[in-house]
Amino acid sequence: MWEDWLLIVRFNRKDGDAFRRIYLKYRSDLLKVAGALLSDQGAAEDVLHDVFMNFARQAGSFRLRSRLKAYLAICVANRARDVNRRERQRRTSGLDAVEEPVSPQPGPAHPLVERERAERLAAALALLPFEQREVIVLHLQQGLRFREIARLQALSPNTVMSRYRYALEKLRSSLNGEL
Amino acid sequence: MRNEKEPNLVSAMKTYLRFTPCQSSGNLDERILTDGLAAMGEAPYESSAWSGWDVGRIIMRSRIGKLALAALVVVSVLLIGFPGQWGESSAWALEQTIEALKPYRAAYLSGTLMSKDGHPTAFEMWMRANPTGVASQEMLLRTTAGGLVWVSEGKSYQHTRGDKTVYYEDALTQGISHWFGPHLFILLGQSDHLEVTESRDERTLVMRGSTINMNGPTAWEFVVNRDTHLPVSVKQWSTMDHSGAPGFAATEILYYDDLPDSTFQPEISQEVTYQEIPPQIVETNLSVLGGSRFGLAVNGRTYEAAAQDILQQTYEAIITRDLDTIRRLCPLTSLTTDAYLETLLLVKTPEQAIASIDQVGGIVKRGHSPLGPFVVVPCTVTRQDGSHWRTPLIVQFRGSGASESCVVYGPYGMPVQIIDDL
Repeated sequence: MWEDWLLIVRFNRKDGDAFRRIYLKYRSDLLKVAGALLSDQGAAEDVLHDVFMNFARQAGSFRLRSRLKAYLAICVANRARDVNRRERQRRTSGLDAVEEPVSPQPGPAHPLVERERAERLAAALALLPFEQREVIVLHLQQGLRFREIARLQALSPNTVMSRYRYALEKLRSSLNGEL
Repeated sequence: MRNEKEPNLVSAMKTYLRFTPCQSSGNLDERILTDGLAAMGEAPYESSAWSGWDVGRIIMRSRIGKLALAALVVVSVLLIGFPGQWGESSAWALEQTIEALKPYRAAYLSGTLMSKDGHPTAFEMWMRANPTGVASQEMLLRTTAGGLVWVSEGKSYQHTRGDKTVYYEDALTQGISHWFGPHLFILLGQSDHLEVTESRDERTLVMRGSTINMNGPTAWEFVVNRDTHLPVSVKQWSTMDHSGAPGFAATEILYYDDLPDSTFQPEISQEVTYQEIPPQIVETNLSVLGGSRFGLAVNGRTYEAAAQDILQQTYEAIITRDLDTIRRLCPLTSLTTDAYLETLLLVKTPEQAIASIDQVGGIVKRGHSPLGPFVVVPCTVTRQDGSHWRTPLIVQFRGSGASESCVVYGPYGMPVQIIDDL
């Protein structure tokens, strides 16, 4: 927190090294958020790029009102939501009007989860509506508190907790008690 | 049944999400950093970046100042304490060092200072504590590059060999206040990441930590002799994580019961002239100080009466922990989070918390910024431990006529402890 606060002070002085350190510090976490929310690795990278461009444009006037990690993770989620919405509109306006769930991408082997189990978890996650997947990712992957998510997304904490609860129900149903 | 399954599900999903390998294309970092830096350059400045009290701003302008400041922050009073926890062994080691330092009132340090442009310079430094053993009373630092910095009787001086002018400020603007002794180590012990580790040299222990003071992030490392428990070397970085070359590295520390007064007399030509550096307000802070939602209306009062009123209200807000009022009266604090503000202004160590306001004095200095006139008013407070401290504060006036108002900018230099002569 203190380190971030000071990085922001330097960032607001347009210190390029501070921007670089903030980026390197949170790049992996944020790429994981984008990767978990979108089907396409290229799209996830574009989201990260857009978020950091918007962030850079605030140098000189940025005010840190929450944890920097939480702020950036929410920015990524918001941007991913826009990308997801555009993609859905593109699909529904085209010949293929059926919404497709995000399909998990085959990636490198998971270091801690067996491949088959990882695929089942990815598939179950992909079946969730975006706003539920978003809460699962922000809370379970990034450790954001429900109140934090609610405040940064201008939602009520009850809404966020309900989404989380529904998401768990759906995951449980999708996985059919396999865990 | 449901409750039994849920922890498994949550745990499995958490493990899956958190440890999913993160892949990115090779040029992602370059693309984002290049574009981001370009976007940063085009971003407009809207407000001040630095929201802390800006002490040391003037001395930082000179080459000597850059070097001196690096040294002086080691003994800065403004270590912002974290209510941190540390292990029993760390606490024990710290206690031993605190106890070992008690008999000594003076010290000599030598080593290397690193200038901002990366040039090392050798230095030697003498220090002596005040009668309470809490604050540094005298200090003199000399560098091989001809720099001379010293503090005496509440004033800060700087001079370069061969120059005909000695520049000084009528305040402890160089950040020195705490004696290199027990109290400093008590404060350092409150830093968030204090750790004591074994050294490669079996005769020593290494104490490392990081904290924040008015000069920004500060990481430090003391090597302590296992037998004497006294620090034998100290390094300091301007980062929180000890990265990069230390800005200050004292490789030799000698302790004395006392040192003669002559030690602290700088060798200055009789022909030099003394030139006071007036207090200034950092330009980038002006936009924040000018904000209309801040401040207190002057209402036709004299500058002195208005300044005394706003400072009285500010201290009362600090004592009652009324953050909203502090933010309204001191605009720079509006940029901070509650947690930071509480730590910065309200809680250093419990005994250092301000207990009462003794006196808000009259105007001792005047200046002018693009916003309008400002004044310096000394305030005296009593802390919870019963000690009395004097801090000059800058009050900035804005506007004119019926709309004239004032805001508190911050302290002009470090607080100075007032010792009662019995």
